[in-house]
Amino acid sequence: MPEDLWKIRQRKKMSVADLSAKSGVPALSIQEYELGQVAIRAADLPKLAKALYVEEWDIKLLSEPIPTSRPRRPSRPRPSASPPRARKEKGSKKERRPPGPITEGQKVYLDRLLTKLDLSREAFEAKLGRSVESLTQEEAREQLKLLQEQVRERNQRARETQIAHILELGKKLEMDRPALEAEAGKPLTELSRREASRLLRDLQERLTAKQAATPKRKRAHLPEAVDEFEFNYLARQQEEGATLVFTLFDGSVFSGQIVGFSPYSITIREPGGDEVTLQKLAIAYYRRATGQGGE
Amino acid sequence: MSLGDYLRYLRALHGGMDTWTIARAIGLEHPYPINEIEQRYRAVGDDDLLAKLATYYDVPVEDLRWRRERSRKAFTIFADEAMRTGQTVRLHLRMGDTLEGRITWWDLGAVGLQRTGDGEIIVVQRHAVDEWESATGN
Repeated sequence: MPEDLWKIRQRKKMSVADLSAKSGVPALSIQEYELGQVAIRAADLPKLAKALYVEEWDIKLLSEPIPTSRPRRPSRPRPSASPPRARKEKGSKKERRPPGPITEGQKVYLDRLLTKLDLSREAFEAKLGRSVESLTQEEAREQLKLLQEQVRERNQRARETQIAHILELGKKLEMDRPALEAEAGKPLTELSRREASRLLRDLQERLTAKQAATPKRKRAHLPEAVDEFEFNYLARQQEEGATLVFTLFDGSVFSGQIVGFSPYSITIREPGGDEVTLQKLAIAYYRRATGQGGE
Repeated sequence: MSLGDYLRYLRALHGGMDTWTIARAIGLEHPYPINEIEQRYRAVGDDDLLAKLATYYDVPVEDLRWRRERSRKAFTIFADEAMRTGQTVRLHLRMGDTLEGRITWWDLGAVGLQRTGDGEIIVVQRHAVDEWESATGN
C-alpha cells in the first residue's frame, strides 16, 4: 500500500533538507506534500521516489498530515502495539520486491492512474488482453510506467499558440471565447495539449466544410492596372488614319494622325507633315476631329 | 487629379528630379513615403509630409490635402458606378473646363466620355480630372 511521504522519509532517517538536497525538490514543496496541503506533482514524484529508494506507487500522492503528538525522544519506550519501525522496515523492504504477482500497492496506483485517464479497469484489461491480477510485479511496473507517461502527457497544458489558433479559427467560425469554452467544456487555459489538439482538429474540419459550402466571392473587375481601353482606342484611330485633336493643360491644341504611342506619350503627324510627340502628362483630353465620325 | 498624379505632375514641372532628391531636400531618410503617395491609388500621406512637400513645391498645403481626398480609387469607384448605371457625369478639369457626358469606358490612364449633345467620344486623361459629380437629375 502506498504510504505517506513523511513516513517513508522518516523511516529512511532523512530530514526534509536531506530529501530536498537528494531529490532536487524544494524543501517547501516537500513540507506542503507532507502536510497534505497539495498532492505531489507528477514531475516531483519520480524524483522523490528515487531519492527515497522506493517505487513511485509506494508514495501516497496526498499525504495524511504528520501527527503532532508523536513521540520525540527515542529513549522513551514505545508502546508494544507499535514495534520499532526500523526493524519492521528492514523486513518489509525485503518483502517489497519479491518476484511474484502484482502487489496491492501497484494495483491501487494503477487504478488511480486509470481514473486519471478516464479508463475503467475492465477497459484497461480488455486493451491489455489479460487481467490485472495476472500481471507479475515486473509487468505491472512496465504498465504503470506507460500509464504514467500517458497521464503526464495528458496533464501538459495547451500551448499558448494552440489557444491562439483556437481563437483564430473560432473567429472564422463566428464563435467567441465563451462559445469555444462551452464547446471544450472548460476554460481554454485549462485544456491539455491533447484536448487542444482535438478541438483544433474539430474546428478546422468545420471551417473546411463551411468554406466548401460558401461560394467563392468574385472580385469586382476594376481595371486600374489595365490600360487596354485607351490602347485599343488609339490603335483603332491609328488604323483608320483618323485625325485627333489634343488639348493640353496649357490650353494649346495639337492635331494630327497617330504615328505611334506608348503608355507615356503619343506621336502625331501634323497636317504640315511635322511629327510631334505629346507627353500624356501634358494632355488633358483628346477627340477625333469634327466631321470624322467614328467612335 | 489625385494627390499622386499631382505630385508626379509637380515633379515633372520642376525638372523631373527623382524622389531621392526630394526626400533628401525635405529631410527624409528614404523616398518611400513620397513614392507611396505617388503610386498608391488610395488616399495616403500624413499631414506633416504634405506640409513639407507643399513647401518644397511652393504650393498651398490645403491643395494637397484636398487632392488626397480625391484619390484614384475614389474616382475609379465613381467612374465604374457611373458607367454601370449609365448616369450622366460632369468632369471638372484642372484647366477649368467642364465636360459632361456618359462614361463608356475607363482604365488606368483615361476615361472615355460620350459627350452630352453631340455624342462625340472624348478621351479624358484621368490626371486632368480635378473633381467629378453626377449630372443626372440636375
